[in-house]
Amino acid sequence: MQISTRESANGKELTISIAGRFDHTLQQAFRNAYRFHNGRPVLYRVDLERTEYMDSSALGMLLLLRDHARAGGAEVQIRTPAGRILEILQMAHFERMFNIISSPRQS
Amino acid sequence: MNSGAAGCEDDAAVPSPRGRALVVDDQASNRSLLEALLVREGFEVVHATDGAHGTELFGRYGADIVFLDVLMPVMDGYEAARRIKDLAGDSFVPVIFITALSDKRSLARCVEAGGDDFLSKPFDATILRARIHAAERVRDLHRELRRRNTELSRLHAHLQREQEIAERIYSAAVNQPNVALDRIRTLLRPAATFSGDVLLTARRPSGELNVLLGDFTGHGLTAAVGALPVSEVFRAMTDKGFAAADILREIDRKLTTLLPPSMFMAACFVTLNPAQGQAMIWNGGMPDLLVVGAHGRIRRRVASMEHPLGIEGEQDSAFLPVHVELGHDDTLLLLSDGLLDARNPAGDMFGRSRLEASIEVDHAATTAFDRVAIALSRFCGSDAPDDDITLVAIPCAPEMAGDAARAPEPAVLPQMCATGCQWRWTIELDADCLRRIDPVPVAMAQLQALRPLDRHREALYTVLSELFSNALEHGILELDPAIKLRRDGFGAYYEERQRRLSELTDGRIRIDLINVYDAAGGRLLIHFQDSGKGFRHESVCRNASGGAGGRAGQGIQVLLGLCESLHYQGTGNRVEAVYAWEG
Repeated sequence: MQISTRESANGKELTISIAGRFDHTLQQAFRNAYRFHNGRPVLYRVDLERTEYMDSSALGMLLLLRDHARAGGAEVQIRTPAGRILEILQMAHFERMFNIISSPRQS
Repeated sequence: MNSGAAGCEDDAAVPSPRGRALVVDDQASNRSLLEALLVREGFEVVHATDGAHGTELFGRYGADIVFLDVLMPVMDGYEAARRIKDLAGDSFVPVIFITALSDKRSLARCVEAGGDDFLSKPFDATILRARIHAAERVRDLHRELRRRNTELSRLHAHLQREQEIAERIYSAAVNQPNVALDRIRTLLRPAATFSGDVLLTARRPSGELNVLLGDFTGHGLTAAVGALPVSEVFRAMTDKGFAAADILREIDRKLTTLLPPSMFMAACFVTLNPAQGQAMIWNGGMPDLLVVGAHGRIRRRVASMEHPLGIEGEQDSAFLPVHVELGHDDTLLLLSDGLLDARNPAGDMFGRSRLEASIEVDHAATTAFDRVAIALSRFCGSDAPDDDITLVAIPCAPEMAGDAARAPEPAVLPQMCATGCQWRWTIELDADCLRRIDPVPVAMAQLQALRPLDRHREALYTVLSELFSNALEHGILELDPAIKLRRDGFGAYYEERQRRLSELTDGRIRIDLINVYDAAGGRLLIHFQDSGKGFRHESVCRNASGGAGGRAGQGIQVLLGLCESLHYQGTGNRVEAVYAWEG
């Protein structure tokens, strides 16, 4: 499954993980991951640990999630290892709009 | 041919609603039995006595369903089935074997020969009916599929034609007005008919070259259509002499309004001044711009400094470009991320290391652009790229300096005014305004609207820019022109200018333009007044005429060359230039 979601026990956090290519083909699936969620999370965590590739459509999808989160008073956190994905986020200066947490890549 | 339909000739002439059934059996009793059942089901029945006869009839008259006996003289059912299926081609005609055989091998052969079903003798009306229904269901599905495919192909061809027309219009609007493309090398490999990457070039009134390379999210038509308003804004504002920051701010504002929330445009903006060996560069979300010097050495990288344009809720960018010194041997390389992400058949990406490795080769016979193009081509092969690829190489040689663009037609074409007639236009800016507004393009817009002053736009732009520069930088900000003479002085001067301007709390500049018409044309009196302390204009003017006087002197020399007269008044914080023009 390219996109998987996990909810915290108290329902306050929703983690969306993306494996493989994060591109325009995931548009619908990514939106569905948070749109029809019943709870009201305070934190949305986007887990890019196993993402191999990300294009500008993916950046656009993150912006949509941010709008959705803001409307509900929630925050968005992006977790990614250092490497190409982090470079893409930094090139677009998304660190000014999202809380980005990077970890050193596991070997 | 036996029609087989019971009843009068009239029935034989009208085709049955359920279609035509072809019955092929060498025994007459079998044929009549099956025919009777089929007629009851609403079929028109045609029969043949052996495989060859059946095949011939099918070839000539066709059928909607075929019943074949297996064991027949001349040609058996297996061979007939093969030939009938062959004749049917893309159409699906159900072929049902009639057989008394029950062994599995024979039944398997039926299916292998192309049969769709088999029916055992003796016939059972109920079973026959069920088998016919099943066969018809498959046949109808097949027909529906073919119909939809034909429709899809038609729509697709239509869409292709529409796209081709749209692409021509887009090209005319966005690409055609571009300038200097004979000197700027470009590599454009879009992923589809429309590229989401857009390259715009235009000249400022003073002759400098503005270049914008943009990359819209996604690719294809939806990505490209945003380029149209960007192109309009870019050209109109460049033409009027607006600064890069103002143009980028306006494009950002426009795209934020137009584009859906998930779309934006990464961009880099270059203002090239080859005569003075410098460029102002801004990068928002694009890969590093590279300054490549002699021997392929990458002298400098300009990385993304702010986020891309058109992101809603993020209007905090300053859009201030950085200053870069350029030599005549230098080349500026701009690229979109499609180039870095381009994949080879194995799935590896081209990447920064390969890009820079192909550039940093000391090989006089090839340019950096050529080397990158070749390396990329070898790496990717000929497959279509996943994302639009764009590479632009801008040489910094003096030939890049050009004449100002041709003036656009003024909107208003007033009559030539009578002698002695005059108009006056004034603008006064306080510190808050000075921090945000550049009045020179605003004044130029006024002048360009009136003939025949539009023909003098290059000279007038130079005069107004020079006088405003002096008033702002020397009068209000009190910058020391000597900074420019130092190494990397222009960059330092510019940074200091930006810093002081952003901190400005006091100061005013007033511009008066008074135009007096006369027989030959007229005189434009250009009056600048600033609230600064002034300067020792007497000494500067003396030095200017004598040839010395440094930067301030050079500026005054240009003014003296263009204007009929130039007078400083007061403490030097007031100046009047008179520009004579002929209509």
